[in-house]
Amino acid sequence: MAGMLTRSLLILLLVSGEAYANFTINMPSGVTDISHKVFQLHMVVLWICVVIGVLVFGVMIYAIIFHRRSLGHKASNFHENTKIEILWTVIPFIILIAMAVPATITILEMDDVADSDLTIKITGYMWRWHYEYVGTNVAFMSDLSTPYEQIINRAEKDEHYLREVNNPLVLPINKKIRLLMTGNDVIHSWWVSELAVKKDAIPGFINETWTKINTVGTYRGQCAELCGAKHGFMPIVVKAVSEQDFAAWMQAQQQITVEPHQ
Amino acid sequence: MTSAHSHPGFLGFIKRWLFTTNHKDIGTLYLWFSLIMFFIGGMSAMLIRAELFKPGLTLVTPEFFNQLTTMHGLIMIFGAIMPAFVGFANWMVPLMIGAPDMAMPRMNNWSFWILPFAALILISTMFMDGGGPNFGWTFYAPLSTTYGPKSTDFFIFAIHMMGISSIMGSINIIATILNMRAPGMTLMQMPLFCWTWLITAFLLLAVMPVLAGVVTMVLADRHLGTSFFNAGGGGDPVLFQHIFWFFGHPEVYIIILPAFGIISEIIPTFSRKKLFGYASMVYATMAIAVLSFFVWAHHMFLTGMPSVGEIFFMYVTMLIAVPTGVKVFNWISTMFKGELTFETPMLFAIAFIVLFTIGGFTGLMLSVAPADFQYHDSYFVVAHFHYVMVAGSLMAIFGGVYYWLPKWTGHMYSETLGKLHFWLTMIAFNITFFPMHFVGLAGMPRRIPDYALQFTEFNQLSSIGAFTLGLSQFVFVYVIIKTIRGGVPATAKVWDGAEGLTWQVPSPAPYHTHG
Amino acid sequence: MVNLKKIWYVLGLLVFTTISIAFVFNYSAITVNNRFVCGVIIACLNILALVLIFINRNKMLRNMLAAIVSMAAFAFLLVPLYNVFCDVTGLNGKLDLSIAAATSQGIDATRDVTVEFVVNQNRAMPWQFTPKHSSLTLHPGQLATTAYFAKNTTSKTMYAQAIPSISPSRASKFFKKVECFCFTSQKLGPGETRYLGLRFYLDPALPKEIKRITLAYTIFDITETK
Repeated sequence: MAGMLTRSLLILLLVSGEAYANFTINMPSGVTDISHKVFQLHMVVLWICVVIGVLVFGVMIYAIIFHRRSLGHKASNFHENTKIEILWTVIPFIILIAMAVPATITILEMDDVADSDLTIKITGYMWRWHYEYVGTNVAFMSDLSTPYEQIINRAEKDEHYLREVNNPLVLPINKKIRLLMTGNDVIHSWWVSELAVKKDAIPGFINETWTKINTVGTYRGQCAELCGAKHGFMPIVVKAVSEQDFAAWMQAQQQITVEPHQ
Repeated sequence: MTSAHSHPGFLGFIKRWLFTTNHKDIGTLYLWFSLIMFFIGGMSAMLIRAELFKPGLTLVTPEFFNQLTTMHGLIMIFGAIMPAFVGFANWMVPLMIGAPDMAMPRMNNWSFWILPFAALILISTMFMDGGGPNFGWTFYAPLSTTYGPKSTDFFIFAIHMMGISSIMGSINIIATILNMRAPGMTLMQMPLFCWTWLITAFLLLAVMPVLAGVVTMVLADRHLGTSFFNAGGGGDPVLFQHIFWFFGHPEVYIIILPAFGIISEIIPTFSRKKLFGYASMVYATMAIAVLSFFVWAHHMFLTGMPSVGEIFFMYVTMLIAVPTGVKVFNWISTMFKGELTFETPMLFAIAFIVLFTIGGFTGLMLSVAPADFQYHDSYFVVAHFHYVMVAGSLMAIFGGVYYWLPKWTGHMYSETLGKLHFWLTMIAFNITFFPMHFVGLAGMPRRIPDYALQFTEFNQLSSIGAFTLGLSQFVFVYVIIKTIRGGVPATAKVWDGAEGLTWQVPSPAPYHTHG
Repeated sequence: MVNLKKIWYVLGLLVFTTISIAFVFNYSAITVNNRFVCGVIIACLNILALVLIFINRNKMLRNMLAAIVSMAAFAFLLVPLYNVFCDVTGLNGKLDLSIAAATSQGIDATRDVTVEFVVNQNRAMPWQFTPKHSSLTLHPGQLATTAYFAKNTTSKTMYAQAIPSISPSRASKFFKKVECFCFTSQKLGPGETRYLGLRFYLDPALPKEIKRITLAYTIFDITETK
């Protein structure tokens, strides 16, 4: 069946690694310790499901092939077996516990916001993001920078179509960064896949999460909560730089007079 | 049909269908209504997939796109899937338990006729000033309360109407099943389809009033100066999500439990073997229903929930996999060492088992809260719920239609055409929805009209699959109409492996059965 | 004439109604409208329930109708219940807007906690609103005073409501406000400025692992509701 073919293809591709030309089929392993843990959790649960699926569907396929009337197979009479029912209630329960343990550990690790080096306040607007480096006067709006002509198909789309901004969020690597989120108008959600950070930005409330980026690079994400017409047009770009580069950038920023809110 | 002879002429036709209190007629009305709504919801899906065929805004504005996604969800859930199952319940429950009709036939008529009225109001919002609802079928506040278009109030009215219809229908089903079984038929002897509908009806009674409550609160926030969901007035947008999902999660079990029932009727017939573990199937269904009340916040892992909440909801959600697994194992054990044939209903049932289980696996992945941080509001979730709702509920509905069409019409459908519909649907469905897992994992959010270039290939695949899936459904309509008009006459038993009171009445089932 | 069994329904409903209304009036949000609407709807539902119960001879039907009406009332009860739950557990970071006792149990001088002050202006609220201190470091139990500078930059009189939110959310139970401008709405004339005061202390029972608390105020324009 088509479903099983595509599933086998998925397994092959996952085993072989990742990118085919331009696209990926799996979650990124990412550039933070948490993102690695989340990726591993995802793969473990996925593989457990694949194995269970193969076993269970295997039994069904066996029946479809060998227990068909056209082969002359005659129906048996059984329709009850308490022992086996107990077995296939308890065994899945144990497998679930095996999954729940690493999941719980990861949740508790993600919850630990203590000892951060830098705090950023992120505000979701309709339809852009605002970043404020708490404790400094550095704050700015971050808007989609893809030209309108590209969106309405009058110009060739560039490489980072819909995932590029005028003012990226610049962060230092190897520092624990506390992220405070709120919404200005409706609920938005700040999502950067490579950092495994996603959190709702709710008007009137402040949410908190943290990240610690290991590798220099540019990481892109999008708003992940329907927020009106341009929900698909308010991306996020995080530029992770070395500590020295970050210090230099902050210096330069603090000398620019910025308007915190439009 | 005897009824047509007692209602001659055009006026007679209108009178019959408008005032009918006959469970078979009302079942037929629900099923036709559901089919029409299925095509309307399908059209919005085609427009969505047409827009998403390529990056760039090509066909519709982002504002209209949001209306399309909202209406697609609302129409499919409340207009297509739920009424289809109510239609099956109306037709089959009295036949299965040996009752002459439903407990309250006049209320039954009202339950149905509210629906076209509500659907008309809902669809008409697209033509109102400001457009139709554009905040997703989940209508989160404050997007719906503060920024919703003027038509939002009509949307609220339509939801109230549909809720009242569901509640009245559930009262009827519970009263019928509990009071009107044939003498000697205990609850543990009735067909599993009746059990799953009994439990579904209790779920509906419990949660449709909560939906009515939350939708009234949205109305109040919009017009009565309340601040249920506005932080400025001391309210909380997250409160909306709690109340909504307290309804919303049992709702998705309402959408799947009758499907479980249909599959549990089809598999034993074509395996020529009794359903394996009838009692545990009943208890598993009860367990799923009870657990469904305790998992609502797994839709809210991202709202800033403290860890203890995430852990609790993760555990209870994972737990639902146990009774669901029991059901899958029982179906497969029914098939195992049976005498299998593969007529169209059986094909849909087997496809259901495989594809619904895949949907269940992605559900299990979603329940793992830290991983959900990456999956939530991405196409991975869209893939998950289409696997359980389309490959799950919809395929069960298709299977049920083929299974019972001979009983309803008195004619066998064309097996060739049925199988054609099955294979087209099966292949097109997977081409449409399997790639959505990939783009979701790769980072594509949901509810967006335009996307970054790396998502192009799989979106194109999905769109091609979607158009094929849509076109394939015309085969289904053709089969239904053709079978109504004629075909090989069906016997009372229809299927040689079929058991139960249903298959002791002639085909087509007479207008009045069982006394 | 009077069916004794039905008395139980009536009694049950009376108790349910009394508790509901008490809940609603004690725990609903700032706006009076919430309480009013909730109260009216719950009262109507209960009357409806009474009517349905008395006109029905069928016990099963009566029970089903009672269940339906109870679930609808439950949906409205969730509004104050949610506030109660948040107050009791401190989850959600929602602050109890009641005045704390003026003194605390004593000062825990063995540790320091930093309190950060951040502000949000909802929906381009056109007031300047800046904290006097961006953060304060203090001992749990120690009384602290700070203020916010507010200026109405428009040419019309406006009313604002400041809504506090605390992160991490489990710290909100321990954040005790003695005096806060967020207790009431603030009125500023055109161009008017004011310093809005806040006096608070941290309950020494604050868990030891919380060393940094962020207090965020979102300021909402509520001129239309006045």
